[in-house]
Amino acid sequence: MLEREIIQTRGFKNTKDENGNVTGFEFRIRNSYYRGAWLSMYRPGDVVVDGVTYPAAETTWVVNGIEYTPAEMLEVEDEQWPIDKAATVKVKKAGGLEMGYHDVEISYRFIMSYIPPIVNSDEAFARMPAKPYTRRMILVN
Amino acid sequence: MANEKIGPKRGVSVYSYTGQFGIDMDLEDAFIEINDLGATGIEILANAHIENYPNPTDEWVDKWWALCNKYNVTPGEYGHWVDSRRRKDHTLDAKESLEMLIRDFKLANRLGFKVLRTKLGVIDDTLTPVENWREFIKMALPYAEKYDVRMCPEIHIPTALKSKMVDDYVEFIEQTGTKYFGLNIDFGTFQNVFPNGRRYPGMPEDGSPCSYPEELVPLLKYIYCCHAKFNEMSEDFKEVTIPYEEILKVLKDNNWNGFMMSEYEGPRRGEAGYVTEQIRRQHVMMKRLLGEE
Repeated sequence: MLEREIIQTRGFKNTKDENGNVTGFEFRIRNSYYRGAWLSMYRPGDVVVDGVTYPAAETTWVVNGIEYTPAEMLEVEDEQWPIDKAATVKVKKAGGLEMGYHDVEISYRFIMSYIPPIVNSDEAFARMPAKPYTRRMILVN
Repeated sequence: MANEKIGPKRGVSVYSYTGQFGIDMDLEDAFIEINDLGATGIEILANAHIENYPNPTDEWVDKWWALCNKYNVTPGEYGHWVDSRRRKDHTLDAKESLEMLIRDFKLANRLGFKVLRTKLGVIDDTLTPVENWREFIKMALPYAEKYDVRMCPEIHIPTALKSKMVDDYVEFIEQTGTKYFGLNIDFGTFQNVFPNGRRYPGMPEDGSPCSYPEELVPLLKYIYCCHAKFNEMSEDFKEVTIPYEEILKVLKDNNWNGFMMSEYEGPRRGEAGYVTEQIRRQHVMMKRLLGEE
């Protein structure tokens, strides 16, 4: 089961490569909408941790076990990010984050074809920045 | 069996449990709630409530049927979408849209659904459907017949029953003579009380509702399912924004046969006890209005 908050406590940790080197950090988010959508319809936003911005284009999302850049997601039309499974957001940062509290923030948008384009389109998103999801979380490892 | 009763029947859309599903509620919990209400139909949203959509496992499908049987609930309506703007670079063409429809027809058929709430892409703020809808719906009709499913776009506030959109759909049904395309009426179109003065683009400027219940009569033969939309049930079992008494009287007096799927759209969504109580109040009201024992 998922936590009610969009940003999930479980899964917040530093990312290690096969040699055990810390290459970044990761956290999980649940889908905020009432239905899942094809990956091509999502628009990942920037990640902000403790005031430092990590641009969306430099992050990846792991959905159903497969890791995608935002550009790669645009091409995936037959795979959904559902409402009952969290996606893992990965951010590259040599050495990762320190143990302790961090203020984590992320935003994302998604295209919904049955919502008027005047409020739901890439043009509309550029006009109206997304309200980010935020959570203060503890990193242990 | 209660499910085979002719007339307006009570059901619940799992959409009502948005914000609970996957957090403090699973599919079986939804079935248990529906069974508690003595309701006999379920609406699911394919893209929300089918695990691993669009490719559920055989085990999941077996579980689905086991739940329907255990709780005496009929698969009443299958919500799906034609995601016309699925690609960034173009609107889906007719063939791409058709493929999306056929995939859902097959899955709906496998799960026992005969009525679909088919959500089309829109092009403006009064919810005008995409320009190629006639083309791909017409292409889909033989497949809908093959898989025994009826596509129903939802007539939703601010769309009125007396509108070009509904006229266009009716004209399509009459010209093709099809039994596999119809309407889902969302009771929100009859909303006549607007807390905080909240109105939608394209609504009558004099403050009147989009539609009146008696306007259902000429459309009933094309309506395969309704959304029993509700915003607020009072403690004395009245919906304070939508004239349920008149709506259900029209459906009942005209022997309309189909499911009315509870769709909660009020505040405090996702709050387990609150939404459950709102739905229970609504079903007390509907039982009384239908004269159910």
